[in-house]
Amino acid sequence: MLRIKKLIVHYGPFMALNKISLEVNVGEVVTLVGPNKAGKTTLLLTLSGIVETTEGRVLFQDADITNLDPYKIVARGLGHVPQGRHIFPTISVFDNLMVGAYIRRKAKGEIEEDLTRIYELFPVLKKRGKQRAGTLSGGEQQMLAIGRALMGRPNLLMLDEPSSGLAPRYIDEIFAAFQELNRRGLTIFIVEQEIQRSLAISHRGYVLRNGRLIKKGPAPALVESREVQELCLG
Amino acid sequence: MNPWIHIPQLLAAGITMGAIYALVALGFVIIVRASQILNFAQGEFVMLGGVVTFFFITGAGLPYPLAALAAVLAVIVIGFLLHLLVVYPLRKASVLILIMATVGASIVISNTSALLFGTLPKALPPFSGDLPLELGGIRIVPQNLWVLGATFLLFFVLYFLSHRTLVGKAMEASSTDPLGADLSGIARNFMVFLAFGVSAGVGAIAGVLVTPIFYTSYNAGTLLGLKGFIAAVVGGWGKNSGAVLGGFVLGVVESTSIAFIPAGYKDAVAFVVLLLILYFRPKGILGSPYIDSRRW
Ligand SMILES: Nc1ncnc2c1ncn2[C@@H]1O[C@H](COP(=O)(O)OP(=O)(O)OP(=O)(O)O)[C@@H](O)[C@H]1O
Ligand SMILES: [Mg+2]
Repeated sequence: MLRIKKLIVHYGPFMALNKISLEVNVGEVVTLVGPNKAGKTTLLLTLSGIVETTEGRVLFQDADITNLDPYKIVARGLGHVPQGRHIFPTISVFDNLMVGAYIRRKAKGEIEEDLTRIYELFPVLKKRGKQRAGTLSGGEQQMLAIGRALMGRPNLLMLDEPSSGLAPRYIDEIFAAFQELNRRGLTIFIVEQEIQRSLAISHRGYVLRNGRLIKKGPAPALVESREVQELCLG
Repeated sequence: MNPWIHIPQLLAAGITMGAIYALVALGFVIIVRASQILNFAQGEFVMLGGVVTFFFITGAGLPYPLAALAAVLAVIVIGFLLHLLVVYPLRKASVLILIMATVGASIVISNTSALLFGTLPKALPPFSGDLPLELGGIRIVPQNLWVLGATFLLFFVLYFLSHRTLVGKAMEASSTDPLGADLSGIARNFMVFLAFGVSAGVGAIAGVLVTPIFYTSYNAGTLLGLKGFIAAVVGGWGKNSGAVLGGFVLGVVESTSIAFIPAGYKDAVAFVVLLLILYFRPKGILGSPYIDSRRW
């Protein structure tokens, strides 16, 4: 579904990603782990068209999406919940969700359906619908960020450290949501510091360090690997 | 002589001028809500509204209402062009550079207007005669009522567009969190393009409304733009309601000050008001969602 071929990304002279090749197949949950500053966020931002590619290609559902405008990439079904959530603090929770559905604003019926499903997944978003999103707690904001991305009806959802800074009960809730979403057919690509947790719900995983992929494999094998063990110890 | 006896009359004039400041301030707010860009060419839209209407009447022989409509449409096109030729090519630059570019554009627009339409001040006839109405001892020309009525109408239309429509919310989202907006599939550049058109339209309407009262000329835009900006800051940066309130406060304070200080200092009053507000209440009278949300 997603095929990244020899991707190179620079920030000025600094090479943040060095020949990254990676795949996510339909129906999978794939986790990407790595120490701070490894380039994980850069990779996701590049896939979404926010950061420009120097070399290499990104194929999504067999189409080349390298360096397309971000809104066109979203419209093709690649959703992205960014690190730091980036919800819209000044408008209501409900309006955040509606803005998430902006690309398919004409499909009123679908939007109703999706809202219902998202409220099932995260009931708090319904309860707090009229509140300004900036007044939500961190965990609630993360749920909103996920809900907003789902409103775009992605085929593949990328999440950048969704558990970061959250209380344990919220972490349980969002990981349960990922499993449920995957069971319903959503392909998921997660960047996480909660390595064990994320690999436990994943089919496969990759380890990124200093802009290079240093390890990949099925999730159970990866958990046992030296590279991941080292990361977990910090 | 007792300065207070002039107050009612000055108040009436101040309210009218305040309405114009409010419209200019609303123009700033429309663009800021979509992009965080301060468009210092906003005053030029107002100048152009008056000057181009004048040209369509005297140069092209159009009847007044048609000339005004054509001028507003022409200025909307200029707003779109300002985005396409100046703002869009600089979209990757910092906001500060964009703001400087709008200052440059403002100079180009005003000089082009001088070249095309001349430097003489231009007046338009009032919409419905100039027989003053007597209201409780105050003489009010009917044009003042047109200005007030149109300002409130525009305020409600803009309020509806920005707070009750999905496009309005998407615009706000684009400025409060550009990355979040990109990842929500909003074509942010198009939002800014739209905002420039709407903002130019509002400015042009203000120009058509005010020119029968105060005249206009190619260089009138700069000061109007600054005053409108001050009004927007005084009322509460980024808020439609703040823009309107700030406009009226500024118009009234400025106008009534003439009773107490020489009229030549009138323009300085606006800047004094700005300094006082920035010193004592930087969020503006009604508070600002932007200044609030920036804190974390
Ligand atoms: N906008 C930028 N300009 C210049 N350098 C950047 C920029 N963003 C990131 N970098 C650098 O690129 C490298 C990778 O950063 P990135 O944020 O992708 O890492 P990360 O793996 O997501 O880290 P974290 O775990 O802290 O989120 C870092 O060295 C960082 O300093
Ligand atoms: Mg990161």
